[in-house]
Amino acid sequence: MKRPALTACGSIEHDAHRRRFLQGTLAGTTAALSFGRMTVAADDVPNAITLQKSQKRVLFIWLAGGASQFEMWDPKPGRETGGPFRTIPTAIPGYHVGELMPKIATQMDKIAVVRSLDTGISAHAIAADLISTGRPKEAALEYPEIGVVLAKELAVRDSLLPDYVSFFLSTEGRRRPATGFLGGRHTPLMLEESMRPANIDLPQGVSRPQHTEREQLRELLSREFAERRAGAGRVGGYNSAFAKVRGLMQSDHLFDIEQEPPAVRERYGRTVFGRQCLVARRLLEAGVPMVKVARGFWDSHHDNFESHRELVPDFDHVFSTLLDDLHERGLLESTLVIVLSEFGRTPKINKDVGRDHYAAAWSCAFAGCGIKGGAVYGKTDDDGKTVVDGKANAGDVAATIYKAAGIDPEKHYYVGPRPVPLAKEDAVPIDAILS
Amino acid sequence: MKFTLMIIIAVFAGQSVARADEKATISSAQQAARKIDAFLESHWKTAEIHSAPVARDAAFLRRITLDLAGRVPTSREVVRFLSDESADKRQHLIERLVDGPEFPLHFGNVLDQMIQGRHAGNKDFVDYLRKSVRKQKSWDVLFREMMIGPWDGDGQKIANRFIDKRAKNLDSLTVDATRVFFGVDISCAKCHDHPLVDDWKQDHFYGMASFFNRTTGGKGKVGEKKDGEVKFLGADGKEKTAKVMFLSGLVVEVSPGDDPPRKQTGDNNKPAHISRRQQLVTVALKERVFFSRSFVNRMWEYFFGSGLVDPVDQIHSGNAPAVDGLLQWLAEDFAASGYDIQRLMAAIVSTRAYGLSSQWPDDSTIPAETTFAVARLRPLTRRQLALSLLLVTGAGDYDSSDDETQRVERYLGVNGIGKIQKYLAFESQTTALIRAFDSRNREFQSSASEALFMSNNEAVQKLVRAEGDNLTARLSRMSSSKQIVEAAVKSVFSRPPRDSEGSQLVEWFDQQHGDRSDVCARLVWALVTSAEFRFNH
Amino acid sequence: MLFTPQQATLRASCETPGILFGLCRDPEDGRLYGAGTDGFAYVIDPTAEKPIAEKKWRLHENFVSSMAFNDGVIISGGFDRRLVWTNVADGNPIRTIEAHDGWVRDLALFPDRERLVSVGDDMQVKIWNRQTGELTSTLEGHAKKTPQGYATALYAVSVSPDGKTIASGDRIGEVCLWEADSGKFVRRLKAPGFYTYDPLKRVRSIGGIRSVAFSPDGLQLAIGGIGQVTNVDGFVGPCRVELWDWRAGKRVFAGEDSHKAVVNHVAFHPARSWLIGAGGGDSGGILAFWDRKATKAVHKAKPKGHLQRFLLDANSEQLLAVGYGGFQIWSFRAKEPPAEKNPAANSS
Repeated sequence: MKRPALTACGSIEHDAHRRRFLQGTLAGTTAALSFGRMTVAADDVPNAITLQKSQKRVLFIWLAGGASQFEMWDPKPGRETGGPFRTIPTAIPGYHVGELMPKIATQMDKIAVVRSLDTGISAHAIAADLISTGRPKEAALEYPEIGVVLAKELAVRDSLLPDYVSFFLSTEGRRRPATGFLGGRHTPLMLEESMRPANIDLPQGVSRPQHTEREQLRELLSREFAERRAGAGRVGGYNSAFAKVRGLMQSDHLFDIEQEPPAVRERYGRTVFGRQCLVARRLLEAGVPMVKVARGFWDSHHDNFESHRELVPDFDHVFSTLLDDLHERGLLESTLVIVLSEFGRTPKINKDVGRDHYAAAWSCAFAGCGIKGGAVYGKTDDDGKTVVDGKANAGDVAATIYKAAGIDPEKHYYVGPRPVPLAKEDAVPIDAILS
Repeated sequence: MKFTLMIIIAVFAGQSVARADEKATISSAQQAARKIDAFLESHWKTAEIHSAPVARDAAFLRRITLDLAGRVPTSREVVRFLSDESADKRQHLIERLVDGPEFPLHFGNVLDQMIQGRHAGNKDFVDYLRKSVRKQKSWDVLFREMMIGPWDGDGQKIANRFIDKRAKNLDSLTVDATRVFFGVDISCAKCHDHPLVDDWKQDHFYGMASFFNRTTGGKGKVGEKKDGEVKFLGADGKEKTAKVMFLSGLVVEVSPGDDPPRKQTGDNNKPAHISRRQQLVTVALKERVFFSRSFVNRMWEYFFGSGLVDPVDQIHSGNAPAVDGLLQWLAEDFAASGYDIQRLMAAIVSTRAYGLSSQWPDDSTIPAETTFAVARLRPLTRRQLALSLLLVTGAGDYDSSDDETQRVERYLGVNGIGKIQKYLAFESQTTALIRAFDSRNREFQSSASEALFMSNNEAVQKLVRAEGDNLTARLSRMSSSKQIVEAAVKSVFSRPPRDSEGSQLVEWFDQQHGDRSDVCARLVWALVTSAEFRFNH
Repeated sequence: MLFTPQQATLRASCETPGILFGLCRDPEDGRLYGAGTDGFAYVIDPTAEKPIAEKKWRLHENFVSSMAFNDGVIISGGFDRRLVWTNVADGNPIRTIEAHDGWVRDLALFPDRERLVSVGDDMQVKIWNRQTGELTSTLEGHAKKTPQGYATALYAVSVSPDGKTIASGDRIGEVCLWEADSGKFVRRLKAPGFYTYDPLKRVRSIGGIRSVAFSPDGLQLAIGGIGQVTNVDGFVGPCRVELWDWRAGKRVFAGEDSHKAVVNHVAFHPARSWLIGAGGGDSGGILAFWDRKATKAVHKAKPKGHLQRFLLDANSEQLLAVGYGGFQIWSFRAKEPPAEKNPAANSS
């Protein structure tokens, strides 16, 4: 095979060779894969130019540990189960939220709420898997997390930016978005220790051109090695990871909150969650299609009201700042914002003045791209114990998310010969909150 | 005379297997290897496919050293093997490695990962496994020890760790034990009959759970209560009491079965009764199909990259093995040999199939993974990668041992003490590296974070920079770029460069600007981060 | 009669729905009033053989946090931000004041009963004329936010026996002391052991000084709460009390016990050297006794459920408590001695 010229990444010759190589190998293995092995999905990735204008993004805010719907979206004031927080009216006539969310209350015309989640699982890890993939766990097939699917679908070809950045700074309940059968190249950039990716600085003693040179040599050697190799798809994944390195190093400044004017930083506030959301906005604005920010840990088994007094106003302030900021920058229309937990909290207040896990009736919220602001879907009974209208499960939530992002939830990937729809077969998107 | 010699060796060497037995093991392993190859050839014939050619020496050496010693070969080993002209050098290599001091060290880790999963990494447990492998303990004995003991005696208590770490969670104990030892994932059958697999009903899940529900532990001491049954809600909502039932459907009666009543471990005052876990061991070994197939299948996956049944914890009637009859035969053979792990290992790696090239000779379609007609790329485990990285970039003295060590070895009549020390020393340096690497799970995922780590982290740059007497320092002292390229490729890839490749690299080298040792460092970096190093091939 | 903490036994429990936080007693008839999550006052007669809780009147439109009794009137504070005066004869509110810009967490009557003091989540300490309801002073000094910038709370207040000093304790473990008459700020005591902020695992906090109490001689101040918490999802830390020489600004004793709980209420025994703490948490409900010498509690009793507040009756033979599930009456009196007794043998 002709040795390609050593050109900088992004040149047509290099790119064409790379694509030819990848296509060739994949074609060789598609027909022969058996059930359970790595998938091969057709890469219908739109090219960079046409997508700039219509590029969609997603911000997934994960409230880890189970935020209390009683203290947020579905309050029950005056009831035995209601707790001490009162409610406040919102921009939606007839809909009240907990008094700890005054700013969000004024923005409810941009936000859609689903109050009728009934998802059945109230153990942290299993529920988190269920909610974040939209599917119960199967022994033989590992499903990708919703964000991974979104990153794949919304990725811009040849973008130097990561497709998916996931912040999970608290250690409790930390989840790493699973790529499942979609495989390695879709692994998100995970920020777990700090808000800056580790190892993003040029190493000492290596100049930028030298850094590039050696990577090109690495890639060349790897490609030559992969010729006619069995299982060479993995080399593709391995090389993709390195191809991301330069892009990540160049995006270094996006993670640097100091680049924002002080006024903006003040606006988001100095809590960890505030700073994370500001960095998230920077990434989204620069074109990273998928960002996940986890705010952990909401699991207030004891002293629930004190905990929510602490957590909810922070969330209220930061979330409302974020919505305003996205809106002012003209990004809200093309950015889907999701607010989700693994479950809600019990109507009953326990002996330690706490609430425990509850998956039979709880809430989530959305804003932005594809969402009908001001829609309030579903109802629970007067005490918040059961759903009385609009029951929705984890699959339905996933389907709704895909549809809002402009992706057909019934679209199929293939795992070997088996077609796998993005959302579970019986999932029904909640059209009432979609625009 | 021979007998006395055997005893002396056994006493001083700590090796409990005599040379004569070994020879018998190896030859019967070779017989098994022939049989395995016959199955595969028949399979290929039916599928009308050809196999890849046999791998070249250098490729074979690297592959088997990684698989049996957990590292790439040293330059000395490469030179020795490539220049060896004997016809059965591959067989001798296998024997040297299986018999060598590093195999138990490496394989102890492999078993730890396989058995303990998320609870792997406990030093004492790993040592217990290493010692067991070194003593050539058979798989059924290991199983029995981990399930029921004996747990008294030096270093034996830790054998209960599989049970102990899971004792407080019956579901986890049931599911893990069934997965690890019997190759079946029954977790989905807990709430209802398995939705996708006909074989597994709720009765199977709770049947297996019944072997474990009386088990107590969690703080280092494992015991068993005298009574207690598993009750569960059937899919119809009614409560049932579970029968004590093995996966095969065999129900264990409450009254004493084949085993005479034995005293409960660690409790001398109570009257004798039969432990449920003991009954599990008896039934599992008597039934032997699940037990033998599971281990064989996992070993197959380890060496070939995918199991004969894949995934390896999905052995059931709806998931047919890739090659007709092979798993059944090999499992029976393994059981008949007394579950001899070394023999199984030797059999598999002695097959022609294991020694095939991973490169297809032409541009025609490469056969599917499940045909085993070509060797496949397998990512190095994190440990293999870390050790190999340290080894190839290091001072190149892994093989050599100082005079003191050699003297000790001669005195004891034991080889390998130096190697063991070197291995363990390297291993202790790998901790930080291991954390940064992507793990080899079923679907290997290359992440940007490993790539960033290799590209920019100081720990890696330190390895590839010229320091002391490391590889890059030695390369920098060489006179011609041709010499440098040859030495670099040999050290890192464990093979000499191909002609075209060599000139390509020389050309690259000569075009580079800057300090010679920096250029060497960049070359070494590109080699250790290339796919050829990252994968087993 | 000598009695020891070891003799503490639960004599009776009277169930009410929810959790009772506030408690006060009518000294005339000895009846006990409690109120909490449902906003209603419940009453029991603790001298009855088998006391039963009777639901009375609605005091607040939210949780009731604290109560005091004076001359036929209950004065209560609640999460509706109000102070309410209620006539127990007919249950009618005599006066309602929008007292704080935040939940009213605690209140205390001055020993001379002329004034009362309340604390709320506006982090203010307010002194009121008990008779007229007039606000006489507003005292500031507690930080308005936690060091990390989150909402804080002002949980507890106490007045010294001579009526001259007020002490208030907050969420971040600080106590402020003021001169009651002049409103002058006297001192800040820092007890950060009572506050746990977890920046790594859960990125939030738990704890706080939940109770403050002056010693009978007024020289010392007791503080109650929870020690360092390992898992801020719950009260997973040792129950903790401290004793301070507040005039010197020095801590003189710290008591902790491995029983994982928050001490919601701490009090001195009027005659003994005991410090009594009541509360609950991960290890269950607790009634603990410290002798002010050993760090570890000298005795722990296991109440039914998590306790919120208690008071000792006049003879200090009984401890009357409220918490989860209602009232609990604890007795220190030894079992009734048998009918004929040689006095020499009677040594309880």
